[in-house]
Amino acid sequence: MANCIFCQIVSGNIPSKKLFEDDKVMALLDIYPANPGHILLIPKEHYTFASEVPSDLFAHMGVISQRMSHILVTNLKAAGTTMIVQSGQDAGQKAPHFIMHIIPRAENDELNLAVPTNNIDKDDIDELYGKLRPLIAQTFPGQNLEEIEEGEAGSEEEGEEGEEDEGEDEAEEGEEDEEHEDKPDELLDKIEGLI
Amino acid sequence: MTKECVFCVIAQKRGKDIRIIYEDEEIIAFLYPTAALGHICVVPKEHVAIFMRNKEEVTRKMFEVAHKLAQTINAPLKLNSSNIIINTGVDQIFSHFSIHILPRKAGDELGLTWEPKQISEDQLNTLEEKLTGAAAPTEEEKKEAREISEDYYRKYLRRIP
Repeated sequence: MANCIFCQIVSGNIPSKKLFEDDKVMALLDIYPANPGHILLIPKEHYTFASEVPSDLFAHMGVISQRMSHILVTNLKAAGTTMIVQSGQDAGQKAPHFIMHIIPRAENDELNLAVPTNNIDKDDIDELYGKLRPLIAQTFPGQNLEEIEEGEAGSEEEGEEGEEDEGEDEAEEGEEDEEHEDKPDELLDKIEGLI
Repeated sequence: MTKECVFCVIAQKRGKDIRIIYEDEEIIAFLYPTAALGHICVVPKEHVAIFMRNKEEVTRKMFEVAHKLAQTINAPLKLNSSNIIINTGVDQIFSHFSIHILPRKAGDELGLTWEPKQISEDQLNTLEEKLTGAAAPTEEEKKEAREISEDYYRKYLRRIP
């Protein structure tokens, strides 16, 4: 698209700090970053919204975003990363070209990128699930969602049990996670030995 | 993993009142009652703590499913905007890798935006060099990078309370 700045970058008419490219995508440094090292991963073809991007291209970008996240950690020593897509005005999209953002994160960097915690009404979720059933069968042939059985939702006993389980889960998460790293990994073992 | 991980419990379909909306051999997606109505999590069934350690073929499939679900969920909600987000290390809620899909509507105050920072041409050049390895790394630097990577994982895993 002639008046799209990102299409101009892809065609080389506008210079950029290019980090990676293949036949379908390009990764470049954002010159207006959320944090220094912010990477913009874009399709070479012009799409505005996520919904217009073919699913296989989106999936390819996902894999590249994983590699870019890894590079941010190894090369910039980032404490973490955020991969975010903002599609549509209400999701904060500003550019006219679809972008996958990969942002290096520091502890306490005060970026407002945590997934917020609210309390969503269970009945609303069940109502939405009911509406989704036929749509999911359309989107993913072969996926047939179970029907919600009468009285299945929210028997008091079940509810309590559920909450109890969850509390336990969170408390023991860290410990369990360490255990999970038992896989033989010589480098990890070596570093652990040094701590 | 065992019962201690919330997402592993869901992946093994032992979660209470969890509405599963997609499943295959490797991944599972469900309505997650947290950020907004229509909030979806897509997770690998196998316990993988962080994005960078997920198998690329599983990542590919997770993104494909997330992409399709992001469109599908907005139809009944009559919305046209969404965020798809992965937080790793910082702002990561659970120790099980997950892609979050958030349907967005005007004025929902979910945030997930940022103010651009100023950055100099010199800083950009330095970042470009570091990220492309323009100054070819010595064997010593490569070794250091590997160790930092592994050290990062170790620190990250320790940080989870």
